[in-house]
Amino acid sequence: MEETKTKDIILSVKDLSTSFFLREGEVKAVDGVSFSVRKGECLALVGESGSGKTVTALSMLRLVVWPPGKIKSGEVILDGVSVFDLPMKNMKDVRGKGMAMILQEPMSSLNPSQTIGQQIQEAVEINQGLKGEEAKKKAIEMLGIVRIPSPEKRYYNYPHELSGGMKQRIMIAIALSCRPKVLIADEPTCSLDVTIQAQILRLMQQLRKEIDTTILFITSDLGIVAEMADRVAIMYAGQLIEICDVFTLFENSAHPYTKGIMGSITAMKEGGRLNIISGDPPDLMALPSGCKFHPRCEYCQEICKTEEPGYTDLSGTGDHWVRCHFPLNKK
Amino acid sequence: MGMGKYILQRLAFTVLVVIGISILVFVITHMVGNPVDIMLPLTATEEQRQLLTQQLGLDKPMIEQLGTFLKDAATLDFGMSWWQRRPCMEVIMDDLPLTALLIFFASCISVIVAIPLGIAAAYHKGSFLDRVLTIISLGGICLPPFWIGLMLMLVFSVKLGWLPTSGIGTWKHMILPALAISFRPMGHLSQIVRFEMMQQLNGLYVITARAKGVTETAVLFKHALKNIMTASITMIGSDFTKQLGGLSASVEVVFGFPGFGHLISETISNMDFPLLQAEVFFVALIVCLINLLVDILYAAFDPRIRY
Repeated sequence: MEETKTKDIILSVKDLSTSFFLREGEVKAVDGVSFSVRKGECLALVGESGSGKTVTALSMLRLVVWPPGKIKSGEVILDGVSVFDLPMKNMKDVRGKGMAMILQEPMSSLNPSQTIGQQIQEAVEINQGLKGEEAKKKAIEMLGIVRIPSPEKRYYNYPHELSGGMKQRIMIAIALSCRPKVLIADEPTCSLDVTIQAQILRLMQQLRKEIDTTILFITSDLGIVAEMADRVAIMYAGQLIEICDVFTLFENSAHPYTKGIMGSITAMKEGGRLNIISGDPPDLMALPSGCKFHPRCEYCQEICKTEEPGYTDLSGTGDHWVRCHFPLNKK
Repeated sequence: MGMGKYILQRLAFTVLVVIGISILVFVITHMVGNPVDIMLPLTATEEQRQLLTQQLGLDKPMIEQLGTFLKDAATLDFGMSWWQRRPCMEVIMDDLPLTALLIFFASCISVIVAIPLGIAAAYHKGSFLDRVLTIISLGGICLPPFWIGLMLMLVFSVKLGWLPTSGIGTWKHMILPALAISFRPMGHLSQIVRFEMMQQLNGLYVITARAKGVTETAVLFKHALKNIMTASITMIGSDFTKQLGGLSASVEVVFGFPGFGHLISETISNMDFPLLQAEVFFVALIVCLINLLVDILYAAFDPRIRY
């Protein structure tokens, strides 16, 4: 899959495959994923849990730990630099300054034995080249930017003294302190309650306007997609099955799986019964032949069972790709 | 509650524990045997036996003996050693500091070796290095210390002639016994460090640290090390007190080291009640104080622990 519009592309991932080699066999967590992110946009990576979203992000930063995880193939180009060709000791230049990551579990993503101030300051020192008092001042400033009240005092707090929402703000502050070219937010709101979720999302939207950063937003929440994203990439069983802009997703999605998950919200809005996709997500150790979605697909034909579909460019301009033999979009 | 108040409370508790253990040991020793039979030859007459029993105060009711013992112990007076015929305090002060120093050396060696070994094994878990280090540390736990002592003596004293085989006097006399004692705590500690470090390296905060560009060295030593310290000092403290409580005896015997462990075993075989009680008193006191120190250090390493 090649996107025709190559200008302004800051990050491109090509044919990325990552597997976990367990005693029971190989788990293909990410299987040939390709996408590009344009400068300043927010691309949402959407899929159910276990579809490979997080592993995709960790692979981009080469944070998959061997054993058991291993990046099998692929290429990640960040602002002209081929990340996988760098020696491991130079990865510290890509991590942070290049791509920073907000993890999905704020409760355990901070070091319990360091103050939150120290942890933000460390990111400032590594990535902004500041030292000592200057870095501390910057760290306190970052606390203010993520709307933490009385930042000078909070600087000395330990993670266990903060609530979940506060910790997630700290995670955001750490990621922003890296001044990344691309900010990866891995379900930053999934373990928070609804009101805090709304606060964090609003904060991220405001910050996006203020500092104009490129975001790869990983989520399984379509409501968040509608609010945050410019474009959307849908993942299923480790593969990218559809990529399009957010309006196309809601109006004219082409993959039966995408249609299925969109149906699960639109049907409810109209007061009908909840549309569900029948069957279960596939076992990543025993993937079906042909199209990975065919056992659950109501439009399944013979060819779907045997032949894996390639990508089809539906828009003709490279903006809407789908991996399906029989795309459903209205022409 | 403040730290000062906590320490005072623990010290008061320590006094209770030491009194309790002293009473327990007093009662048990006075029930298990008759020291008069050991101190006098088999040919001694009944009068001689009764006279000695009277001299030692063993004819009085047990409760009265206990009262006298506790009253004197409060002023650190444990009476005369029956076996050595000099004050118990003097005997203990001859041997205890020497052994404490020896075990302190052994602990230092084990900490200096075990922490890097454990970290290396955890960082390269499942590798050849990890297996070799695990075998070494299990060997340290399983091999009897007196045998390790003999082997060290064979190599460094007999074959190479670098270090003395036995006795005390210079720091050179300390090296081999300390090394022999250090193997078991080293094995324990490196296993704990390996396991704890593996847990920490699986933690999400390690991903956060790496994702902001922290180097691997800093991940290990600036981030993870502090989080494995509570478990590590627990192990260090527990091994130190075990060695002090008599575990070092076999190594002391091998190296002819006139230490505390050796003294305890001799005291028991001589049924020297006053000396044994004094020894137990000091062991209990030191164990309590070391545990207190470990608990205070917890708070220094883990901010979630507050007293």
